[in-house]
Amino acid sequence: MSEHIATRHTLVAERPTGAAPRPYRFPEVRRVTVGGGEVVGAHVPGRSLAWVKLVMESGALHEPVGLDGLARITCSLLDEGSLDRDADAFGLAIEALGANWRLACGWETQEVGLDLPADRLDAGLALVAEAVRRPAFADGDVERFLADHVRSLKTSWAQPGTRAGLAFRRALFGPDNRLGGLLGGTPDTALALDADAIRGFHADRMTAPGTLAVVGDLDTIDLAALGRTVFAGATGTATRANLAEFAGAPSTGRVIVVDRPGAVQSVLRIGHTAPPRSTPDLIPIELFADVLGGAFGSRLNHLLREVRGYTYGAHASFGHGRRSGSFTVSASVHTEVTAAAVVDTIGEIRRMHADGVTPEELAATRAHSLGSMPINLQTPGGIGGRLVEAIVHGLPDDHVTAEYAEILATDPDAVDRAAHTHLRPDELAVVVEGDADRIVPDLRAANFEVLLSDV
Amino acid sequence: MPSTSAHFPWTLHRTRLDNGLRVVVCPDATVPLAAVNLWYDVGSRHEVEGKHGFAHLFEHLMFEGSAHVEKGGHFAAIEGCGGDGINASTSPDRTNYYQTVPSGQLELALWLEADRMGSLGLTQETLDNQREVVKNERRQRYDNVPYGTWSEEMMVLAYPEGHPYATSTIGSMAELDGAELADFTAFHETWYAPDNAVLTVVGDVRPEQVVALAEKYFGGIAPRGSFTQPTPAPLPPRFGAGRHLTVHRDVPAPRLFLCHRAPRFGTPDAAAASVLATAVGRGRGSRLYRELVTARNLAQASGAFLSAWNHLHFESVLMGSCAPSEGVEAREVLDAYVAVCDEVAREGVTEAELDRVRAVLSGEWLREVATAAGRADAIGRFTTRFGDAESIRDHLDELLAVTVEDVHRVARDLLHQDNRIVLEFRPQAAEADAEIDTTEPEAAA
Repeated sequence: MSEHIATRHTLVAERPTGAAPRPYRFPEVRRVTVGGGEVVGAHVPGRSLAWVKLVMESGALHEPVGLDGLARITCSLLDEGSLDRDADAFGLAIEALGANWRLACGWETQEVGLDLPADRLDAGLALVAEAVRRPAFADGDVERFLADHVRSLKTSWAQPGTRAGLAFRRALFGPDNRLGGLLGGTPDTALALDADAIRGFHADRMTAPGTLAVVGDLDTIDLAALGRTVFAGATGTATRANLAEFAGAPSTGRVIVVDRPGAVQSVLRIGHTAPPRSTPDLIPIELFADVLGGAFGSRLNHLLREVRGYTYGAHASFGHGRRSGSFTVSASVHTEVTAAAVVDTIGEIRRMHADGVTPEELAATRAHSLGSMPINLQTPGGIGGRLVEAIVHGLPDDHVTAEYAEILATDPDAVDRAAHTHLRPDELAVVVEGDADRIVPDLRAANFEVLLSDV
Repeated sequence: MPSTSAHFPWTLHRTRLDNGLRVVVCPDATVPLAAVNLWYDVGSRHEVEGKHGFAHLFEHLMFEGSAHVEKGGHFAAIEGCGGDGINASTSPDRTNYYQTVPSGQLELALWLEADRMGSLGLTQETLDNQREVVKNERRQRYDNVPYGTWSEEMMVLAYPEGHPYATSTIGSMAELDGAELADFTAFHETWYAPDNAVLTVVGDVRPEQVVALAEKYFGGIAPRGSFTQPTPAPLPPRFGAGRHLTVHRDVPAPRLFLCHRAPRFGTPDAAAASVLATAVGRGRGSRLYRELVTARNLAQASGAFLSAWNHLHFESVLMGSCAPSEGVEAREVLDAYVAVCDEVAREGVTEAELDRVRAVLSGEWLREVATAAGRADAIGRFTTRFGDAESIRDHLDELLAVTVEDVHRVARDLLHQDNRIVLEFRPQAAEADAEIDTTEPEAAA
């Protein structure tokens, strides 16, 4: 407190105490099996927007070896023309509905759909069906799109952090595992993609019915009719991708440097593999991760930004896939303080591993986690994201409501145990993308072995 | 009398406290939340020579403590009560502060906002710390990113020296280094006053409850009375001469940025200018996308080849950008871009194109006001710009009422060849060790 601060105004000194938030309940979920597929709907009446997505087992792990990025590009081409209309006409049809085309490409699954004014849902869903079931993949469109894709990958390759991300994934999962590459591939891998590969991937992976997720007023939406529309013409059954053993063996004493000559900042990616979403420790992990690097007042952001001034922001989070996961600390720090920022980061990970969280930190992060749930789930898209999570990971319909209860019930010991188990401070992959000439001497002086990456 | 409209169906309750603070409440019991938003009518347009970036650095300092709140205490209190979506931002026109909290914590959010409106807990240590943070923000967003400085460089070209919009909000490293404590105590004293702010609360709240709490927490803060505004000379509606500036930078490929002077937000032709930008350059079905990408494969796909920036106080801009496809010369894509603009200036757009724009803008508006926080910020914007929250109800209607004749009329002016500045980024030649700037005349049309 700073009671001594002079002000000519009359301010209320006493901090008000508020009322506890009302418990959150996820909307009612309804399921319909129809036309060989399943429709999963969340009932959200009274909203002007609706949201729909088709979830398919067609993520990057399904790509043939050597064709990194094929899954994403195939998904991205779905709205570039169908057998019924060309690319421009399809784009115009989407925009005429006031809709936003949405796609998400993951390692295991992909989603394609849209959000739009609620009264246009049927027309929008018909366009999703048209795109997925009857894509044209016309030579001209594919050629144009691939060239554009290569150029945009080159642009993204030049952005700070992209190459660090690749070096980080390689260190975690090994260079031979698909998880050790970038989801969307690189400018080099994109050169191997062509129209035949794209048509083949669609035929192999994207013709099964999939699962349709819908958010809207289910009292006025006919879920079965939506399902019949989007599953019509679907064939086959989706299977899960093979996943080889991960081969990474990172060590905290070794820094992998990705050279970026002249860079005024260094991008840090520090972390290791983590358990998949099915871990029983999911909630305790999320709670200590929030304390370590999630909230604004997290230990990492506090130290690196608010105390040291090294960065605009430092973050840590766990990603929980279906069969793999990762723990990642990210920050951009100015070149001169790179080694010091790496040391500080590792120090905070060690401290969390050894000592866990304080009761005050746990109380704050628990309140933040609970309170932010309804804030982040105000829109159909926000609710849809949790619905897709249930579909991808096979969770019960009330998983969000159950999560709320579990966060409330988690005790400090469980959080500390999770930190001790799931942080591995001696097995961190430490990747720094920055000006090697300027940062390597400092890193060596801080007793790190330095490995120059060929990324 | 409060009214409702199809595009903004919520009720608005407007009050002005004795100290001038405008309080707008928009009850919405469908969410268990309260979005609390403050718009201060101060931005980088108020900065003086040598002190650019100070409005934004000051915004950071507002999180560094006040009379009854410790450094970092604002974030900690909001997150700790179950709030989220906490942040602030600074533009040339305004500075906004916002958070969403469980509705039972409304009072805490108001207390925190009032405490920092009425007092500032600034020390040399916190200033030094946040100066470093902002310098890293500048590195992360401008200096370490390909093309990162383009908007800063364009503003210098688009506005005369000394114009309130001629500089970036982030400021330069040298100016940030020169910032002293006294600059910021004066800044707070000058601009952070109840009669220079709009407080908006959206969510599961009762208007009389919000007003009573606003009175309790903000009521003791004295008004400032008057605020000295910058008064730049009005600018001609067009630049008057086309320009093309080429700069060599550390970028992976050439890229073009195109700026057109445009009417300020809320003036008679501003809605038509927004519709024009959307028809010509926003979205998959826009003229530029279909011509440059689908038909001719000259440019990389982009959702925004041209968009209206809608500055609130002085002449604004329609800003464009475009990146040549692999193997295409920048000159070729620029010629094609300009040809599309010329055609629209000559012949206007069709009813079908306008229908597309209306659907796109309607969808965008629904998304903008879909959350309590989005709605609160929009209310703050309309109240600050027009002095009355009710003006928000007309916004979409005005856009939807724009005719093909309106679009054609503004297109003739805005897309005129003497109203276009082209800033071209080219990769540095390997042997070049210095930036080489060249100017060349706009191609004769």
